[in-house]
Amino acid sequence: MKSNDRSILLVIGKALLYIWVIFILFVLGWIVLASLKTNQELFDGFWKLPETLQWGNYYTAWVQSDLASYFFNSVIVVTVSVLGIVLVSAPAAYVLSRFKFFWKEPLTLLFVIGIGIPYQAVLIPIYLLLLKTGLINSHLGLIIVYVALSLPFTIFILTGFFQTLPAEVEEAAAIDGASANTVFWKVMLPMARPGLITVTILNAVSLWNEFLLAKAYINVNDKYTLSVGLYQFYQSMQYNSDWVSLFAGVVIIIFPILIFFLWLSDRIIEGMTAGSGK
Amino acid sequence: MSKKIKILGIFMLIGILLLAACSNEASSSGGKDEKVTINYWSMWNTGEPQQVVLQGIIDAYEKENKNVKIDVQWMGRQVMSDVRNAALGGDAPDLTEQSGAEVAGTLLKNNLAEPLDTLLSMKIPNEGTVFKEVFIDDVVSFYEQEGKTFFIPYEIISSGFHYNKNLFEENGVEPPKTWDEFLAVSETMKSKGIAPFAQDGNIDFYNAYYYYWLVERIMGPGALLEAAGDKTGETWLQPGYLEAAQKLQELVDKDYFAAGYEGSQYPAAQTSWAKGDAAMILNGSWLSSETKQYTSDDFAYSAFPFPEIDGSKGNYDQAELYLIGWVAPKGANVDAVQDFLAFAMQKGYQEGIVTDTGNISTRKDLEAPEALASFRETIVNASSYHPEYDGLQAEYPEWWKTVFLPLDDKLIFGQMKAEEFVQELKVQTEKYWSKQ
Amino acid sequence: MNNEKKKLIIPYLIPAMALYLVFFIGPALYGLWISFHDWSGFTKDMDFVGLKNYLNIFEDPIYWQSFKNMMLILLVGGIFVFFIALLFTSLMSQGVTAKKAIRAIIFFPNIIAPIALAIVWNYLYRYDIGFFNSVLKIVGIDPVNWTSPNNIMMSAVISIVWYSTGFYAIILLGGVDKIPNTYFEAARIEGASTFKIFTKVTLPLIWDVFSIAVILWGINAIRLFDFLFAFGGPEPPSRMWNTAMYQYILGFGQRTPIYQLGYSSAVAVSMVVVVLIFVITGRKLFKREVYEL
Repeated sequence: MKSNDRSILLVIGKALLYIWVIFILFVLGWIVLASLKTNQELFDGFWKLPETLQWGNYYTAWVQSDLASYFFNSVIVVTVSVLGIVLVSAPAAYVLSRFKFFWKEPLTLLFVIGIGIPYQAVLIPIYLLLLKTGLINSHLGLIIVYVALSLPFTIFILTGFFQTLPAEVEEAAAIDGASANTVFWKVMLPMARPGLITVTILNAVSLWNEFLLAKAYINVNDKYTLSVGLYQFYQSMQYNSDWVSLFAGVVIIIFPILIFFLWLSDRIIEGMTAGSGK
Repeated sequence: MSKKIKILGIFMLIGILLLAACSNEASSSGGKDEKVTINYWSMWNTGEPQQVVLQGIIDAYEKENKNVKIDVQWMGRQVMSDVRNAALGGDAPDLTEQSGAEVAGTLLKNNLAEPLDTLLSMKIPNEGTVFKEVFIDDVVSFYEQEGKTFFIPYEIISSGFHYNKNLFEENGVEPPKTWDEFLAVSETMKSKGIAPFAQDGNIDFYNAYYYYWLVERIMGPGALLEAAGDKTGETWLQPGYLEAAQKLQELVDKDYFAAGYEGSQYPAAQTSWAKGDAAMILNGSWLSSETKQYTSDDFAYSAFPFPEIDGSKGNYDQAELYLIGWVAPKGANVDAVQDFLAFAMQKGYQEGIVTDTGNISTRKDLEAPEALASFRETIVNASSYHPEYDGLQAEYPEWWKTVFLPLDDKLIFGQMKAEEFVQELKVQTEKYWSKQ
Repeated sequence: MNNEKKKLIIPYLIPAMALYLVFFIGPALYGLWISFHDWSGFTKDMDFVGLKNYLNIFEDPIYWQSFKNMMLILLVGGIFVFFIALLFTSLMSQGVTAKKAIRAIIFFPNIIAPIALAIVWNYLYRYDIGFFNSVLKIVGIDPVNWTSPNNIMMSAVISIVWYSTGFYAIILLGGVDKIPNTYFEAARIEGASTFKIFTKVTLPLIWDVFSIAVILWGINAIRLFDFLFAFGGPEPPSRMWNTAMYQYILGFGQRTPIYQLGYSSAVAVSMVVVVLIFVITGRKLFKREVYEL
């Protein structure tokens, strides 16, 4: 057994991994530290510790910017969007993966092409469409856009999933007298749970942080989602020069997500990894 | 499992219907005929001093005029592109604001603003003066088009070199008036270990201040605009433009810019200036309020205009007029807007612009904040006005951003010499126009 | 297929198809249509100009600069991301302490809003009081101008690699976790080195997961916007733009009112072309027999 080679490579690699992890924790810690300084201290030096903890920064951030409303807006938009995506994609993926009809291949291809189209290509046309249908500046409009744009990728993943499910269970249920609908909702869907969890999580994470569309389609202050709200906050803080409050705002935004993530991390990662094998 | 899904689905449907109902309700609130609504999209962000002042004016107005509601959205600096998008759908706000140059380059150029001439002869409430008389001379007519007024300015920005009076005194220097004096002051500072200029290199239009002012001083107002608009690019080869570039190169070669300036990300340089690590910074008059938080107690804000260059066309008398003001996009409720603006221009309210935001007011009876006193003096006594950047940003925005600024950055970072700079300007300007 | 099942096809597909066609394909085609016009977006008048916008792209130095930046992120960033991701994956699969905690921690940066990350990294990179330069100072090396015009794109790439790697590492880890331990044990018994195990056992067996991850990365890298936009400050100078930013600025403007919707749409179409080329090339490169587990 070549233990020499193993240990050197492993040691270096492990060291890199640990440094990487420590650096991430360090950055998070530094953000909290920065949020408790005064503006003078912040620009005095990177390592300088605050003389007194400036909890007032949090008050400024919370009160001045509408972070609570933006958070709430994001929760609504993302939750409804993700539900919508799954409810619309699952049946479609089921049909595309397990049924035979002559236009199945072209349709599947049409959906897959969508994965490659960057949002930029449809940014302005969708804007005009939303204007025409009166859906501009509304959460409903943004949700519909999010659902439509997430379909290609979600259907792609779910199709892969449904394909791996055994046909015998399906047939057995049908023989037992279950209607085709029942077969799907009561038998096949539950079996595809790992895939559903995967796409739920992938979509939730990407929509939560989505910025470009939310910024373009919602102009009304109180309807901003969190990422747009943070950007506006960033802009205003630049002109106010109150950077420490900006960092307090960043902490307010990051840490609930982190805690949520830590609590669910096992399930989330399981879901993602369970899904990635086809 | 399917039951859960069905329940989830029902909740979702309800959720969507509720949301649809809510958003519809919000947009169709024009049911009550009595109430007049003014949709005001402001360029300020929540928490900025201007936002606080304007919100105060809005509240006071609504109190006095109970049948008027002003629905204000604090959009931030990119408000004009949002206005543009809304105008596409026929949904532009009644009132918005930005710099005069940006308003001219977007709304005025496309005939998308309402004339506000009636406002000029209205009387200001509680004062009795005629509206147009309260302004510093010529300020309100600066952006007139075809004799009509569309733009009502309330804030004047100018640019020049900001410095700490105490720092200058400590080192025995006076604010320079001519280019040679300016070089001497810089050399003194450098020899004492203080970087002469701070510069946030990643803001390309801050970098442009140097070349723009040099051309203004050497060739007078309008020269930059003329050169940019010449489709052959030949104008750039005139000696004045080269001289300006050479003077800038001189500053670069003498290492007067603080170390690391090419990569300095805003607001790093201006905060280090505020902390005394650099002597001067060429910037807009907003700088004093922007850096207030970082200055120590013995920091005495002052500013001097860009030095004159002996024997050239430009001089101190030519003031830069960078105006911030209101405009009513096409389709606005002009009567309501004009009534509000007349109210807003009252002295008591405009004082807020001076005291709370630290800027120069357009009203001629309001003094400037102490830090900007010299700027105001230049403006009031000016023999002529030119817009910021000679109007380049408004007239030729794409050329400005894609041809001029990248080249100017190279010049100021020392990546390009003056001769190459004007040559490239000629070539690329020509190419730019050939593609239009 | 029985008739019962046949009845499901249309109703199950309609919602997805309707949404997709109306809100995605339709607009995409309209975007293509706009790209053949000159349009400021302020009025309804569009001037038909045929292929002029596309011809201008070929001669547009700003476009090609942004293209270079995009490629920098895609290729250089991608190589680093997957090199590190594969390294971490193989390490974690072979046993590290606190594996679950590490897995969670390396994923953190990915769930934080890129705007927030951009704000933080701006500080870390500061020339005078930033983290990296203060570390260099301690070690005695001259400070580096991380955000100077020459360096800024690489610095941005470093940040992007930092917050992206965890995501791809976890996807790959999922694939690796599926490989039964027996394979590894057998290889070790036969005396294979770590490196050999990785290249001859792990990699082939996660090949399909790996290819999906790379395609995902490509699509995300090409349209990357949020981080770069915020990293550049209040108005990023043109040397920092990638094609996605250029497209946005052309269409939605910033403070400088460029407003060229037609040209912006043409740039967007060019991005689709790039994605297509990437995906097709990727699939060709990754085409191998997939080993059944």
